[in-house]
Amino acid sequence: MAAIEFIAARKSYGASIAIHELDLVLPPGAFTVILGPSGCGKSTLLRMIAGLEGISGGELRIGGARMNEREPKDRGCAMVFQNYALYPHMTVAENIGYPLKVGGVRRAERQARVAEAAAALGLDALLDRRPGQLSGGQRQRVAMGRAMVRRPRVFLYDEPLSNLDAKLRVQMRLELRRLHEQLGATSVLVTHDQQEAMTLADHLVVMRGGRVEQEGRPREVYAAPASLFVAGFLGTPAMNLLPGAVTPDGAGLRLEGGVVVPLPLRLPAGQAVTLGIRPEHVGEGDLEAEVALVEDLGASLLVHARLAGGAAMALHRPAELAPARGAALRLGFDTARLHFFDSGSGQRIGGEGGRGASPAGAGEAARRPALLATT
Amino acid sequence: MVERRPWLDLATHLLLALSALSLLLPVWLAFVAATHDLAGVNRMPINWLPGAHLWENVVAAWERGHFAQRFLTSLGVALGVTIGKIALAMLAAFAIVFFEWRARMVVFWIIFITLMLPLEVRIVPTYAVAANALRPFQAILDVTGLTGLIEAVAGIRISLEWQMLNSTVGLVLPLVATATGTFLYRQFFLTIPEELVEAAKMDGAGPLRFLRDVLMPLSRTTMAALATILFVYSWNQYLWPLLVTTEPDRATVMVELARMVPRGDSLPEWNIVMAGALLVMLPPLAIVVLMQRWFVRGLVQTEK
Repeated sequence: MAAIEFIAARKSYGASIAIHELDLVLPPGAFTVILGPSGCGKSTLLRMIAGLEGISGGELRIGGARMNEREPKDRGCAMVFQNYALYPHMTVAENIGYPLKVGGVRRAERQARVAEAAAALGLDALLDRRPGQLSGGQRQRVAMGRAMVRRPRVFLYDEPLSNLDAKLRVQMRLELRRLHEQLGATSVLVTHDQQEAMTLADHLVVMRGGRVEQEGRPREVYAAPASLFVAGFLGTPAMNLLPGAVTPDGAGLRLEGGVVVPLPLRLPAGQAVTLGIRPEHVGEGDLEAEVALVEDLGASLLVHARLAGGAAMALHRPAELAPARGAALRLGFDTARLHFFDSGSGQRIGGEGGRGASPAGAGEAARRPALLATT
Repeated sequence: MVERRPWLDLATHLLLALSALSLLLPVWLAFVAATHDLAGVNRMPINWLPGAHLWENVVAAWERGHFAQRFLTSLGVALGVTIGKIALAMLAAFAIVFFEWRARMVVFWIIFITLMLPLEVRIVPTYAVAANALRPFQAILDVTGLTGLIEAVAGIRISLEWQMLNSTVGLVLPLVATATGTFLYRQFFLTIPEELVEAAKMDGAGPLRFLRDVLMPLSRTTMAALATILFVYSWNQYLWPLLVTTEPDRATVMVELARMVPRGDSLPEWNIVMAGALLVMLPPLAIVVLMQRWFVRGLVQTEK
């Protein structure tokens, strides 16, 4: 098992910077998921590990050894590409066995290892087919077989599930997790799908604009997002984010539209603060709201409500209690479930949420222990 | 088009038939001429229907033209040029598409510009080089004064010479460089997805390995299309072989065929010349017929 370490690693293309100075450790043997919107540098990061992109500055270590100058094949990494990148003229067996063939492994051993990988992936019956004759899911498996067969220290997945249909995606997600546990190597997966990230990751890294926004266990990141960006990105439906300002007495937050929510911590009067609450945490209370739209999710209902004054809020309700459109609701929050963010810097206020690689100076207030939520 | 316009259909078919007829008429006439004896072929008005002397004309042409030897020479040249051109085009396109280097666009354009300089345009300098391939180097030595220096110091007079006239190498090499082939290959290589290149890198395949294991098998149809065109092209070469083979024994079939054409007051044996022409047409015809399927696929590239 090998840890992957970035030490002040940078990547720039001429004047444009893809990855800002980055210090990051991906724990050995863990399934790390790098999550972010497109263009955040997550794929670049993966390709830097693989050796397909050079490193402009700093250092990359795998298993403690410097990798900057090593060729991709000498890094002990295997990669599964988004479009699978299978060799169209080779059979499944030849595709899986190709890295071994290049590595000069003897035919007999090669066949044995191909058979082993094929068995682990349920590809036994397809060994003589060509990629063109396979379905998307099967191609995906072949790509995984080709990665597995080399017995690498590190598996790299570049959005491997994004070309599959929804049902297959869930199935392959489980398969990925199962394989990871079986193989015991370090896995790194890049995705923009937050659900995939939550379900697969032991360690979650959220990226934005070439920087790490937050990292930690998925549950921790979900429960305490370090910034407005992470709060809005993680979770479907997304967290309700309601901008407001601290009341003159510093004890409440006046939301846009006039509703005042009591603050569990004291903040300077007039500060622009955004309140965050996840739809599943919106309960009953004395805030007046009106139902604008109801979405049936099957297991539950997603109600889009409008607070007095117009602020929108989504919330879950059991399927049996179907409120009609236009019906009045009385909403309330468990103050322990509330998140507060500085509207200007976007940083979390109170309740440290994992490590955030915040830009210098921003979020100073968030670090003050005196502000820790004590409800 | 799924339109149904009988008159348009008729007109287009008429046009097609006319074009086919005008293309095939000379071939038919050559065939008819090859089947008559000396009197029959020179009859006025000309014969439109074949006679009975095809076999003896063919045999006469084969012997008079030393075709056994000429065919071998031509085959060697055609195969040499075809294989050489494909190999060179593939490697050049490989370098241009898959490697990042400073001058690659410049080099690509230089190769592309040579389309404007066919062999006929540069035939004099090419002949000079074929007469002595090392002459440019000799010139450099002479101009820089190195020849004189070495002669003064070591007492040896340097005179470099590599004469390629009358050799297969001389016939083949000047025809090998090809802008068209490089361009065709470049277009094909550009369709190879970037991920495939990267997958090969991750699998540990170096550039040449990637070329051999992935690009060459994938470009089979391109290769076949190119080979068909190039074989016919090099088989039909006339000007260069005429110049470079000063000894009649080293000539290609095309040169020999031209020599068989009756001149001045020799007997007008067109029947034998035409029989020879039919023989010379056979190999390219065979190649086109055999490669037809591949040829079309290679140009359309629907396989991927």
